[in-house]
Amino acid sequence: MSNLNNAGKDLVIALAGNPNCGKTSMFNELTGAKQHVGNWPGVTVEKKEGNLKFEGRDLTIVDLPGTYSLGAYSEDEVVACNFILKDKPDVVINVIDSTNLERNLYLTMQLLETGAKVILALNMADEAKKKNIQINIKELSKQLNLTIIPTVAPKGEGIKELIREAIKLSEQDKSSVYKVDYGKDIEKEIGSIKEAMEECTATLEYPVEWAALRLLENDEYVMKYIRTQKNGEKINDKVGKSIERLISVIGYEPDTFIIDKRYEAISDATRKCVKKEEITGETTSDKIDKIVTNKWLGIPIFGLIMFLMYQISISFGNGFLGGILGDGMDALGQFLGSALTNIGAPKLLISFVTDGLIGGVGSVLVFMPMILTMYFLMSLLEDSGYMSRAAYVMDKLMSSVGLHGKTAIALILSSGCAVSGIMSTRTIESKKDRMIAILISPFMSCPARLVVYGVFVAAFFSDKKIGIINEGGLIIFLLYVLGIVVAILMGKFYSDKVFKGDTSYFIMELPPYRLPTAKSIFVHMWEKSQHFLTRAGTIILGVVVIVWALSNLPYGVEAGSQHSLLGIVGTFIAPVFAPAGFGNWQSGVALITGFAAKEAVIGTLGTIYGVANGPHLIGAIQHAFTPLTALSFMVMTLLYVPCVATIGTIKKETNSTKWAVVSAVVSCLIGWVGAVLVFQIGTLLGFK
Amino acid sequence: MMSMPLNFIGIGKLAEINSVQGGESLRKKIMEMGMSTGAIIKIMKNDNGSLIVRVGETRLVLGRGMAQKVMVSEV
Repeated sequence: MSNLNNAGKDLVIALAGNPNCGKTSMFNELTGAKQHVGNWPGVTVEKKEGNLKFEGRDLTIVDLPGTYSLGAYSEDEVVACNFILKDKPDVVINVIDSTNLERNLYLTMQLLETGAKVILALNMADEAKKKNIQINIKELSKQLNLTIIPTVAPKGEGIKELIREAIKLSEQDKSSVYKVDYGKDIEKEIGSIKEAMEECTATLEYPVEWAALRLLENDEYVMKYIRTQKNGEKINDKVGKSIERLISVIGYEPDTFIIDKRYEAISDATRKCVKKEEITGETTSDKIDKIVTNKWLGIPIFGLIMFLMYQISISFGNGFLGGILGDGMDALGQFLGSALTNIGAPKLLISFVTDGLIGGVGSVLVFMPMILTMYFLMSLLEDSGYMSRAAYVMDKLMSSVGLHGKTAIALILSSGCAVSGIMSTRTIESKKDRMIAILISPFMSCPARLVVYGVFVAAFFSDKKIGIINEGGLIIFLLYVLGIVVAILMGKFYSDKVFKGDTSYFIMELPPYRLPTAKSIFVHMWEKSQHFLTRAGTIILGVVVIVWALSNLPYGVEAGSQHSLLGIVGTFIAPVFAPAGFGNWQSGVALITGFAAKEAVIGTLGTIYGVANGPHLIGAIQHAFTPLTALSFMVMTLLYVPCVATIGTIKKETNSTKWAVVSAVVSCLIGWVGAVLVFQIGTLLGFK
Repeated sequence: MMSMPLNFIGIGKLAEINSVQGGESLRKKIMEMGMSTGAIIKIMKNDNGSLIVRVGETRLVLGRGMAQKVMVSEV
């Protein structure tokens, strides 16, 4: 890029680094709230871009996906690689975990090979100090011919210097000079491949030398790309022959040899610069892991942690905070109601505001504190490093039913919100396992479903006890278990009958345990909740308005009666649910609105029965349902489509409308079958 | 020392990686995550399920199938 000395010129800076190196907190430090999360076009990888005004310069910061290398093994790597080579950022800041220097430098080697201007941020400098890892920065900088700045991103240390040096680097005319020495055999073959590529060099989107090396490494992405170029086939043939020659000279495949050479280069460079204590003893992380991943203790500990997470979310988030919010909303509703009446507002408007807005949306907002609490705890678990241990612990259980260990994480997150669970499947490498994880996640009970259970359980099951266990609590617990069982059974079904193919090998890094800063947890929690707030908020609001409108039309009809448009729709659908025991039009309508969001089921019932959520709604439900039909209704709620947001996410993550529709249809069928079974069998057994 | 699959090394032992067999992309991936030829790894966990190993500062969980493809010799 040209280096006009233009003080106002925009610079594009890319952040690259391993997963878990603290890149995200560096990105947050640099861009604060001024970031924008979208998608890289054509793929399901998140694109994070932000803005930073620094000493007169306007900088665009792009956070590339965390990758261990720039190969072609996953969409993440392809995206990162292509951004650097095609979009040509002015500078690449390579964020390095100082406590794991050698492994992190592997990516650095590949970054240097692209010819980009690279500067190293030796992050987590404080943790390195704690572990007594001494890095001679001056010497390392000399060895690699790179500027290196130590940083502690969450505390903001070293950041200003880093950016200053990055800007300086962008104005220098040199590209990285460091090159890995692959030996004369490889260099010879690279030379002959470059010759073969001469004819298409002009139109090549990638540097020739880099492409030639990647071809020797059997990089699938580059191979496919070359095939589209002039003489593509000939070039690939030549590469094949080069590889054969190399195998006979070296004794094994060149791609393995090249990887080894990179590690050799790293080892040479760091040998003189890094002093570590020989770790013969156990680190704290190892000690914790001994307990947490223990053969006998692992799963019970996991179960306990999950249980605690739910308990805290429900009693503190919902009971305590939610209660306060609920009282607040009631008061607001009354205030607005009387205020509007006093100024003589039309009855329809009053009804819209109090029943529609406050009643409908309010009854959902009340659950925000519970959801925030749950997300807070989940972020804590993820950031501390425990989540990957959870996947390990669940792996054996998961593989015994033909599922991938990381599917357990998706299921856990789905019990907070199916959308986040589905998005977490991005870390699953094999398409088959990923698809299965996406398709079974919606069967987990989520807070929205809990809202429905809460009301029905309060209506029929809250007073009775079985032994010392409250019957209501037991039923909710059983519903959770049923969701898990169905998810696993469907997983097995998909695995055996639908997506035949290899299960992916399970490989996952266990990052060292870290005490996350309060700031990082809150940012993480906010990210997750933001999605819920905007999506769910707007959809629920929309649904509530529509339901309210439909229940009050045609104009003049008795609100929420069977003669309103809403009632007509409901009556039409009702017979479908007769075998499940709740074949009344109100249930039908409620379940339809439940498509938009499960909480809407309660909101709709509230609007229909003309009452807000509370003891009156419970009374209304006690009249319209029986304990058995309440049970079958809850089973239906558990199993059918969670919400529009989930379907939308499935479509986005699988890049296919077909699977989103399949998921919706299949879950509705399963829900119906489940509800019918519960009702029919219950009736046979004499329950009511 | 004889080369054997990583699976057969007991807990707490150290092993040196001789070679990594198997399918292209997965093989390269684990190598790039740190399990390269010549690296010394410590077996932290080797029960019936996946293994947990330590390479340098990195802790990795390896599925059994994958561990089978890593040929090592005990150190």
